[in-house]
Amino acid sequence: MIYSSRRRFIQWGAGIGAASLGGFPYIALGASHKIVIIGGGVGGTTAAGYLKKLDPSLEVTLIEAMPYYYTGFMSNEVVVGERPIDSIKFDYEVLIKMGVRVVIDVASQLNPEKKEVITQGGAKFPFDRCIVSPGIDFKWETIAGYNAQIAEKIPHAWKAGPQTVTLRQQIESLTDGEPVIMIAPPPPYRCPPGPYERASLIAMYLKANKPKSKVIILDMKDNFSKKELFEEGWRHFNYKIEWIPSAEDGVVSHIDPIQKAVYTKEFNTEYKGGVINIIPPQKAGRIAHVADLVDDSGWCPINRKTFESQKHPDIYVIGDAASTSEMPKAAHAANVQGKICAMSILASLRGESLADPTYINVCYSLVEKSYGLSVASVYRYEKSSNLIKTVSMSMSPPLADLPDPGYRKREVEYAHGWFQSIIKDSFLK
Amino acid sequence: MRRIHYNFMILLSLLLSPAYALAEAVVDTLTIHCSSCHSQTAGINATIPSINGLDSQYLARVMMDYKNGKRLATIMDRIARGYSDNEIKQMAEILGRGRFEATTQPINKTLAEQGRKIHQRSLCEKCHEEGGREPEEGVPILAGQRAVYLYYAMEDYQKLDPKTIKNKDLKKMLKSLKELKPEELNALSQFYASNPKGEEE
Repeated sequence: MIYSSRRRFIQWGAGIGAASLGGFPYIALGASHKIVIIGGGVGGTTAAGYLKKLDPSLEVTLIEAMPYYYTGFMSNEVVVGERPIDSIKFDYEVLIKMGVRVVIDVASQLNPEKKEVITQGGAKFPFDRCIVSPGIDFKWETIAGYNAQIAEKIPHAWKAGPQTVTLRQQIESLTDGEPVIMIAPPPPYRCPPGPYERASLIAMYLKANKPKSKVIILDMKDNFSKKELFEEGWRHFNYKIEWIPSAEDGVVSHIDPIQKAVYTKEFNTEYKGGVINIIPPQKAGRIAHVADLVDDSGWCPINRKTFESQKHPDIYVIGDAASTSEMPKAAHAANVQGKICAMSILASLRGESLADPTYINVCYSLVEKSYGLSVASVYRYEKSSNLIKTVSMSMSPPLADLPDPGYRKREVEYAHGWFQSIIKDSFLK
Repeated sequence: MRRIHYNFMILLSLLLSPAYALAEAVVDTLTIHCSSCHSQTAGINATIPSINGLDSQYLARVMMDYKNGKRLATIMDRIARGYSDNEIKQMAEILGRGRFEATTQPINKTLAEQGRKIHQRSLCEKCHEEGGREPEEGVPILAGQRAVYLYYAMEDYQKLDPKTIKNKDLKKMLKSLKELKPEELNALSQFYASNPKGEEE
């Protein structure tokens, strides 16, 4: 290693024998290692790509149930017809070209002792290291009457794909004057500002197309991400959005799907809507539970520097499923974690140690086509507490403090620029 | 080329390029995060600049300006505040050793030609040599940078107060830029965006 501050760096390019790429021999460091990654979202694809990039000799296998991945980010633009669903649909061709073995199948079992993943199709994948990046699952039982089947008709659309389109169609065919009812989950959940971006964009659509309709958000909490900024935006555009927090009887406990009605926990208040969008409370994706990687919180405890599970060695958890302290469950965070995890696995295979990392999260929300908001944070690992601590966190300024009148519009353009970039950096395109 | 390529960078690029056409991947726990937003290969509407391979003095200065609120920004000021001055210097050095990759983007040739004239007339060439291809030290590569970003960067420079700028060259640039109308900025952006390094390299 030539660079002096070597702890910050990963050594590159180990391989078997006098392996040769492009005619150039390079030095061998040992046998090829098998890395199995479960989940083809941003966390899994980023980790797969970076592992392969850092050490092409690794045997990297990515197991994902679906042949396509629809990004949750930007899916709210699909909900209101601002973007076609195909523009958030991605396949795994880039990773395949890089030499990642992509298996479209459900990872149904993960045996930490045998170090093996078994798919629904019966295939077995032994590993030296396994990365679990399954995203979220829903706690269906928290809302009586709601389940995966009913969600086909009363969508959550919190995993983008067919339900995103269903919600789009329902909003389009809403009768003017009927409300859109949204149910927002308690923390922690995927994409903290997401429900409020969705409410904003639906209100934008309603203002132009169904001016007598409004959005009612029944919330299972009393505060939300970027709240002041969202509310300022809602006032700025005269959006019809009614937010009912937990403290004001906002918690929904059951649903009558035939009547298209939801009922609150405290006073059994009935809300009927032309469209109901339920974003249920969440937990780590299924395989994390099957493999005994979760704790009582429903999420996976990890070493927050390396992302290795605290329950089973050589298994790493990244993305929404992991318990990541002050880092939110967000695509950018999953991308960052995928890279750090790739580096930490490489370091561990080589018996090296990684410098304590920094982490970043950037999160854009659109209130309107030309009005974007952001939160940008830098974090550091704190060894003594195993916490990921925020060192710099800030949101877009309120309207009165904008340094430039074009700020909000620029944030929309940067949101779209960010989207293009993160897709590339996650090897989805 | 005055940029120095360290041995390990060369080794790395040799190892990686056949498998996947990546520019030198600089991999450390600090700059590994940059590419989430500053992808080298993002598409034509990417509003965020390509930063790999830019002059390290320039990168360090810009990051410090962001950190100290001396440069207009949406989120880079907030991100820069998360790093020490020393880390910023390190990151700039690492990124500076990378290879700049021109963005393939649609170009309005008429505008680009107008931009070329503005570039010459406004004495941009003095520092942004060869139409921004081979800049002098402390100056970023403009040729092949993303057009939307270039436009915004120049628009933002127009808004700065020259009195707050110490650097003499930058002061001159501000003066020149302030005389340009939006359509001229647009033409200049098209010129620089259209002028990536040629095949001779």
